[in-house]
Amino acid sequence: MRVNPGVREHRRPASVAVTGLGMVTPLGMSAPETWRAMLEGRSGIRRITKFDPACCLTQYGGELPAAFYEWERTTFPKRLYKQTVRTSRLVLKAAEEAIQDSGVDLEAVDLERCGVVIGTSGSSIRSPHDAPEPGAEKFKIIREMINALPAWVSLQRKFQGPSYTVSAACASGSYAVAHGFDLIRSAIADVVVVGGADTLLTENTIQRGNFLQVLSRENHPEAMRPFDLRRTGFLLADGGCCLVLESSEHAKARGARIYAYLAGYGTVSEAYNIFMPAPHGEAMARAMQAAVAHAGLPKEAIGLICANGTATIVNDYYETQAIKQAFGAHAYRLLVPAVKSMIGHTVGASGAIAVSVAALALHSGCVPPTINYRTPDPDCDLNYVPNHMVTVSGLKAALVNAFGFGGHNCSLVLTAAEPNP
Amino acid sequence: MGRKVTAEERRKIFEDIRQFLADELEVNIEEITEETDVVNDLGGDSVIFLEIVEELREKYGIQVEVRTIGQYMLRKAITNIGQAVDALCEVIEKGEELVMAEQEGNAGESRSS
Repeated sequence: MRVNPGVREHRRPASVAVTGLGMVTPLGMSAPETWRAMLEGRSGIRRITKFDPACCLTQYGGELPAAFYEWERTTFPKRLYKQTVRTSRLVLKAAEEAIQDSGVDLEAVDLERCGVVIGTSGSSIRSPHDAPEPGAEKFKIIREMINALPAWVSLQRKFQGPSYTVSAACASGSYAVAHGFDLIRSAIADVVVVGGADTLLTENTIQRGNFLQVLSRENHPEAMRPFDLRRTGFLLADGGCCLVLESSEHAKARGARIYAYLAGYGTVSEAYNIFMPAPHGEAMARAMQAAVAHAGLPKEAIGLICANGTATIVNDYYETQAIKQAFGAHAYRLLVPAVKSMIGHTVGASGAIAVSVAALALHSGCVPPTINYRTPDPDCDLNYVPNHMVTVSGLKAALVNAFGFGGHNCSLVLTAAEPNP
Repeated sequence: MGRKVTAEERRKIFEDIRQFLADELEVNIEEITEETDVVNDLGGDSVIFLEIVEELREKYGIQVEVRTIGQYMLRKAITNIGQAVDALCEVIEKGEELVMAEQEGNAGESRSS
């Protein structure tokens, strides 16, 4: 029996490349569509149509494009449709796009050294709008198990390396990226599809979110305003995102286009409260400092932070304090956009989306904005890239924040593949 | 103990399985023959054999635990539909005694799930 095939023959790679991206978000059916919309500062938020939201205090959210529902109904064979939940179908769509985008030839790779790690909060077991059709009930276990998300990708692409789900609430997608990074750095895998997905835009989740006072109840398209003085909380969204990670040697050997390198991460538990962040962002700062140290970079190398930016009173204030704590005076030179302002909070997908945004920003020199930013908050006084994208030259490294209920904090550091223009 | 399956009944079982697979896997019923491989030719999965048993249980008075069928399937590979029909006829004829005779012949061998 082979244990972790090839580990002994493979040198531990120096770095991990991001070579493929795939997304399904309220802003688009693909990563390029979503990215374009972000750079234009468009909003994917609207009044919910997939159920009557009249029963909820919060009636706006980020719905998937109608094209996604059309795609899943026309693309999936009846039996596979019955055996999967929408969350799995989101992952399959995003994974397929990421694999295609990476250009990796799966005929030419060792499939025993290809893995899948997906993050989710577990919405597959509570998706009432993913109406199962007659005959689906008998598949309940294989439909709803949260490990079905990576399992379907492994099954369809015959990936025979590690395949599993990680769950860390809003940081699930980031944790998945961190695990993929480890699998490659420890020479267990050459190619890992990582990502996250959730479908939490439901009456049930909104009502419970309203109870926890984390959702905006303003009910208009600009209701989610990260870092704004008048912020009132977030709006939920459905979404999925996958990335292809490869060892730099593997990527370079096949002449792959490299968006960016993953350089390190910091994962910490706040060990404070099941849903409130620790005062003053002390544990958020610890995650950021750990990530920068893991990457072996001076903190001044970081030029961009893709913020957690959930638009709750507490998160945005503490995240700002944490950035100042971790970066000192350099904090004021950082760009700190919150893309959740445009797509809403996709929970398990959000960390993977933010890593993709950081990779695309490092690749292109374009940084998407925080939209709906109208009234500066004296306590949140960093450069959140208000309302309009910016272009920057010489962006060397970016940090991505995700802080989840349960106190699961994950910060990741990415570095530019080549000096951008 | 079950009962003898007639040739006519075997034909009906084949037709029922054919119809079930055509509906479930969205294939033209004409393409399904006794030689058709359910997994490789039709894109089915191994769970589908157990579903067929559940579908036909009442209609043909099948009185056997799924576990017994599972044990049977571990001993006899079923890939094409003709083999599935034969297995089902055997299930109807032998009931819970389906694997007992073979178990006696393989004393000491055990295998779970």
